[in-house]
Amino acid sequence: MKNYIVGHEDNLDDIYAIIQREKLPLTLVGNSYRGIGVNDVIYDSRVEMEYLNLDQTFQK
Amino acid sequence: MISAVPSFELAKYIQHDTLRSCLNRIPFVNMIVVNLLYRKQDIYPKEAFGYLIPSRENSHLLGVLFDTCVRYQTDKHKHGSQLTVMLGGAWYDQLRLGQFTDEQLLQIVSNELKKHMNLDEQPAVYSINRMNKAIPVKSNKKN
Repeated sequence: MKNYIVGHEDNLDDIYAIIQREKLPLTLVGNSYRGIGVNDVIYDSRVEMEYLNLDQTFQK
Repeated sequence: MISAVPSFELAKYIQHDTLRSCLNRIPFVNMIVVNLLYRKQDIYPKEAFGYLIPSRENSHLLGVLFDTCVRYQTDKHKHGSQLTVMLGGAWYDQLRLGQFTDEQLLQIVSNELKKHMNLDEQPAVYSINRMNKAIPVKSNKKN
């Protein structure tokens, strides 16, 4: 199956370390980071959105 | 900001040097997706989702989806059979897929389908999509 290169996790750790250190208001979704398939991307986006806790702004 | 673009696209807008190079370190490979519609019903050797081809088979194809089987509920009223064929990925460069014309690609796909599932039909309709930097995966440099 499709997979990321060896070292991908370390690279992600570096990316998030910078985002945290620089306090960048940046959320990363899409198939570049934590799963390539459509189902991975949908699940990951949901998790990220829940983490952002935007409930009040996007109430159905 | 929520970024849903590929990492290499996001990198273009990042001023932080280290972050930009980290984002650019995630490699992407090209894919070709071919959709085929056949007039004949039930061209499938088995009712299934499709199949993947292991790399040791030295096939030009990565995998084949049996769309008509997958969507048999919604496509009940439609006639014919539909296939989605994927080529390239990590093997894109090694197979020199970039230099083939649409006709050549269709010929390659037809030959492989004949070999794999004894499909002798010519498609009634087809479409070929070349997707550059489609999926993040290491490019395979096999000796």
